[in-house]
Amino acid sequence: MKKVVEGKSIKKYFIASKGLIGKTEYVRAVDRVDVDIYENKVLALVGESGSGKTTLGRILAGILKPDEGNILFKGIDIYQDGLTRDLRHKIQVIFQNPDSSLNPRMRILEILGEAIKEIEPEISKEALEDKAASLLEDVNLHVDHLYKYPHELSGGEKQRVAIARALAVKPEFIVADEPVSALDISIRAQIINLLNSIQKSLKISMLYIAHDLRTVWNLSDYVAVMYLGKIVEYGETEKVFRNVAHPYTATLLTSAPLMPKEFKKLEIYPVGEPPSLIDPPSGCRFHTRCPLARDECKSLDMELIEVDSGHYTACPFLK
Amino acid sequence: MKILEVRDLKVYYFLHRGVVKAVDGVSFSVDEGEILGIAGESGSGKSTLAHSILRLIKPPGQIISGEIIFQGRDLTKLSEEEMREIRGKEISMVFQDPNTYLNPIMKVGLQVAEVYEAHQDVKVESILDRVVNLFKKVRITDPEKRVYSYPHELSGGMKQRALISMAVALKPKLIILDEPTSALDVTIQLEIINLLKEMKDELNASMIFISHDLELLSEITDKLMIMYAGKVVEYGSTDEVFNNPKHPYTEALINSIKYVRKDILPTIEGEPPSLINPPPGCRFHPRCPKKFEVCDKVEPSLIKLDGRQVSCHLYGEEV
Repeated sequence: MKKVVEGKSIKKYFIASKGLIGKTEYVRAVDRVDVDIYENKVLALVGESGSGKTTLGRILAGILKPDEGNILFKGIDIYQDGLTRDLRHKIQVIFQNPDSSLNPRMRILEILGEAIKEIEPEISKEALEDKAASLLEDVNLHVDHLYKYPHELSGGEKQRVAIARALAVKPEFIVADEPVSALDISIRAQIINLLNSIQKSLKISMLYIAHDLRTVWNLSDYVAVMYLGKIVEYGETEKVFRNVAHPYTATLLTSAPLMPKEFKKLEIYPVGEPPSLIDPPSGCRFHTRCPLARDECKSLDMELIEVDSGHYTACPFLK
Repeated sequence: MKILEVRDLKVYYFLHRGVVKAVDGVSFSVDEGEILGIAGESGSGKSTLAHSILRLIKPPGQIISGEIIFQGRDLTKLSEEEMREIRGKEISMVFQDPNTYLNPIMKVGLQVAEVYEAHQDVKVESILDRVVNLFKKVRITDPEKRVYSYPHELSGGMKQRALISMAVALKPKLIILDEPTSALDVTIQLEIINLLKEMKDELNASMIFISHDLELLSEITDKLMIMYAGKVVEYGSTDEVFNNPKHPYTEALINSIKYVRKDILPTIEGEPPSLINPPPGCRFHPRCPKKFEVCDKVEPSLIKLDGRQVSCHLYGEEV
């Protein structure tokens, strides 16, 4: 299978506080992570808030430079070589909150028009309108919406516009960062279905960042589970859900209400609160909350090991 | 025994654009020790309903008519001073976002102590011991130290625990929870829910749990009330309503939270209606897959059916 995006040993620390005399403290948002995204496949990135999943998503989307590591998009190093304008358009991001990603002073036509002109600067006014209208149709919105402002649309409609704008530049890779978390249940399913159908019909590769396991189960081919800046489990979605191989993933599957029994093979609950990213626990970072932790977990540096073909875990004690 | 009975409550917001009928003729009751779940999408009126019980509706909102009978007294008839006696002491509330309700420049322990001070003739300093005990009860780690912490020094889960400690401090008979865990991660959510249930049992209190998260409500509530556009569409025992829904809206909501692999998720077409100009007849009819002739003409009334109330023409009128 062809890799569209390859991330190698990605590291990103943010400065938390700079001491005059004392040492500078860092938030270790992403701590040496490898990640691959395959052509025409959806990789879901799962984890709790503060796990670093949004930071990793932004790095892979080419909008946040990592401290270390390489990100290759179709073989070209995004940050070392830089992307040409054409290639840059091939990567698009859909954010959680369409209110902050759509300009409130622009009509939908202008919002979409701006994106269309990126790849067709010379387009005529009529052709632009036609194109914008057909984009709206692609995301199941009425053409009337072209002449409206974002505030006249509902949350679900705004998210559809954000998706249409991403599609306007014919992307090959989309990073969708919690695109449905801000929406009501009944609208959520509509947007997931839309993402599912455009991903399939346009053969787009996708990084889907979420904490809602139900949509992950629906949408993704692969899952990467992140905890405190590290990927702790990775594999095909079916394998990870059915044969969980890391205690943290197991606690996520156990804690979610109405999780089907077949995904609760290992029913364990986490203890305590997530520790801080500034001073993460030694050894396995999950050991402070892991009900199965042993003494050696405090010191062992956990590397990903393969438990089944293509299924990796950072826990050597759960095979 | 009924601890709370709400009869035909109407709460409207008077805006320039028109009158928003947020809660439009809602009746229900809560028995001693019972957990009632109120589910609905944003704009369904569930939060307005919760705030009305404590008379926390501010202009342009107003309670138009109806009765809120709590332990024999109609809360809509009480003076503001009498209401203050009830808030926190008889009925308390936990809100979604602890950051909005905690004073950022005041130590958490002192804020909790204020609850005692407001209702009992004691000084803040002399009751810190009681706060420490309370913190122990809601399982805040290091309670002796934490009473002197500022809100920003606590994690989201800890802040929510502090708010819960405030809500249970004076041993209220009814605790209203407005999306208390929506801002939290799933693993923390479960702990908070367990804590709330424990507190409820210890105080022998009743609970109203408001959420858009039907999955969560299905696991913890005794009774379930589904709201749509300011009206109750279905109300009965959680088992009945969740496992054998009668209203097409309830059915669609429950369908939309199923685990479906790589296929189209069942959805509810369209968007919730405007509450200024709600659709005539049944408010759900424009989105209803089972609508027929009368639905857009006649408003259905709540009828009794299989151990619950449901308002849908499919089941005829009550005889």
